[in-house]
Amino acid sequence: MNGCPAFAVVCAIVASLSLGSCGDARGGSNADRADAAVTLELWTLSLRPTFTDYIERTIEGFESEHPGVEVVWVDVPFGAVERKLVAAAAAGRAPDVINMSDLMFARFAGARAFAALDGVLPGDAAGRYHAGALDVGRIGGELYALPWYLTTQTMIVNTDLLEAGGLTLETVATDWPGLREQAIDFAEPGERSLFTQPLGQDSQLLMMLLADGLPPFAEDAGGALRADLTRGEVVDFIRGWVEVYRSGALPRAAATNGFEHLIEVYQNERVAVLNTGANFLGRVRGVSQRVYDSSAVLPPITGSLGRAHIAVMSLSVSAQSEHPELASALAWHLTSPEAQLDFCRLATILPSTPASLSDPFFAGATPGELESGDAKVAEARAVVARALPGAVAFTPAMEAWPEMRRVFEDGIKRVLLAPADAPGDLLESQLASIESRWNGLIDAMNTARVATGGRAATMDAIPTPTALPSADRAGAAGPAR
Amino acid sequence: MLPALAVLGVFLIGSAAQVVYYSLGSYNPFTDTYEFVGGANYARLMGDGVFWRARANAVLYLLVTPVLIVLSLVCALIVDSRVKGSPLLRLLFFLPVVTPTIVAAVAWRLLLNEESGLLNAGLSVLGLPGANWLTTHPFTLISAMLVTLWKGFGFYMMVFLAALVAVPRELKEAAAIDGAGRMGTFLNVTLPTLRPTIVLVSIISSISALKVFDELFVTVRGVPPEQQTVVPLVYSLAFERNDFGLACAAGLTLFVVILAFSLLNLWITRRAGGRDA
Repeated sequence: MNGCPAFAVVCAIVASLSLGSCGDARGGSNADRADAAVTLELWTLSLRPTFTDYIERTIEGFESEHPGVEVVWVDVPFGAVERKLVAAAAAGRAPDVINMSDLMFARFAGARAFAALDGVLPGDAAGRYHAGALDVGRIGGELYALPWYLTTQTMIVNTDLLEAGGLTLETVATDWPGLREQAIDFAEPGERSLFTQPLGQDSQLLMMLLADGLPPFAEDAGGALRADLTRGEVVDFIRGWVEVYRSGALPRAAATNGFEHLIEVYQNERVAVLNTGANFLGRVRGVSQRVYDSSAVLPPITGSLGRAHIAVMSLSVSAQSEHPELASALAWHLTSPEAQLDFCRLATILPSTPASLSDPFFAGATPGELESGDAKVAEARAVVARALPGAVAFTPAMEAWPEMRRVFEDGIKRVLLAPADAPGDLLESQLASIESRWNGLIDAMNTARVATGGRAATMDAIPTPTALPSADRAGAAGPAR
Repeated sequence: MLPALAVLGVFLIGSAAQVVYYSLGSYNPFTDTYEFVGGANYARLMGDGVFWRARANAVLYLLVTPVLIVLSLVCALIVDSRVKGSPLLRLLFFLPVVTPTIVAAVAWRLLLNEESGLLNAGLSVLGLPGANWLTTHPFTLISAMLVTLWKGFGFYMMVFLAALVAVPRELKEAAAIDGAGRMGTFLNVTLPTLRPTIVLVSIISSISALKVFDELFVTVRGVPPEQQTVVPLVYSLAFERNDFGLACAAGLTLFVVILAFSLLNLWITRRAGGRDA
């Protein structure tokens, strides 16, 4: 008998908590929302606190253009966004606008997490954004993401370490085959390596294959997309990287630690050359002024096509959004040429809107940078901006791509980390196994597409650009060594 | 009773039932659609070699339990002996417990680094070969176990310290009068009195070992999936692959293993206790 009132209290608490959490789903106080007819929630990735003022200012601009709309901005740690988005979606409270990297976007697009943007955007996307960057957001012919900010690579060289290993800016190779060759003599295992690249975790091998004009795909007789990882030239390309890794010329972390090992080994002066985003230079300055001072910036290392790779940060509208048109307008506003130019002034990133690139800011150092005597970041910015027009997002636009990447990474890790007495044909057998699993994923993806009225993937989804003419290559107009 | 049942119903039984429900279907949280697939997820798991390797690794990880029990008991005895500086020792032993696992794992990563870590450098000084602590099985498991040991022994030491207070002083004195040395007193008086605590620590630490996640996720993240245990696999299935049905099925099989293991542990202990009695 005594339990009944207590039970009622517990039920009341549970009910009030549930109702309360529903009410606060969009964030902000009740008083705030009483004034706003519509509330939009925006999730960004790891921009707070460095860019708080910029984001808040840009949001204010949107709110002033859309009276009655309030934007609640939530900044999510990069590593937590996937599980937070899943949890929010399961509760029916996915944010209206979501910032995603190109590595994670397609997986959620495949899960139908995003609304199609064709037809709801306030303007012409094709005329506004870099074509290659825009293609990353187009899955099965439908546009699900607007490209926001971009990064392309630049070659960053620790000249002191380079000279300690007997090389100079004049003699160091500027292509991957040359670097792999020099890396063997340069390396003192455990002490220094000429360069590093993520090969297992966050593997860059697939991107480098595409950048070398060696797509690991082919069309069968019926025009259907098939995996083609066991082709001789693909196997040879990957073998070259496996051999240099297994020789001990690269840091062991290149197999398991992905992008995060780059700054660690570079700042600790264990690696002389990196091919990475220009924003990396700012991070180096933050952790080691000495390494920063001895760093030089060169045009990016590209594959035989001569085209740099673009990494794309995008904005998507949730399929659960109750206001998809307003949410699309918010994404459109955040990715406008003006807003992106302002953003680029605060960070070493590139705009996805070619119109912004014509600003003198991307041509070289600003008066302030020249005055401070530190034009290195500006030099890196100019190098990547010059590379951007010819650059391509070597990211296949397929919802199965993230899972295909994961399958590849698991398989290639087994090869990279295999014991010395592993079978000689381990690489071939792993690539055959990956190819078989890729074909299964392609089949499953196509079945799902057809079931929802879409069309099966073809080679159109794979970036296979022509080689860039020599005169247009990033290095052609790059800074003198 | 009813309030407790209500809370349990909402937060435990309801959630558990939901996991069973999801394990029997294909669920998409973004479209809120669910398709019943029966035992298909379990069949996929049973046919997945990586899952069996992960389960085997989880069982291997149980090796950390006896080491943890011995280490924490020895530390408890040292602190309980009231040697000079024992309050400071108690503090030092407990310090890892309040250190966040992520911080501990990052520090251990630096120590275990295969190229620049102190451990391999120390082995080299001793003329011993280094090991690939962060990339090669089974060293990857051993590395994570070291973090578990370092993080956990202080907590279990406190549990043993509380139990040592309960050992009857008169029994120890009687043993001493009967000529039992310190070791004899420990083996014949202290250890039997500590049996329930050892069982408790054994069960808790075994369950923790089977459920290990943080240490593996941070210390040896990036190794191939067959070098991980079950919980990192569940995480990957759910949050990196959106395969919630398979993740729930894998989680439930782990639950069954833990339940069976705990029941076995209890049964063995009760049998041993009955024989002693």
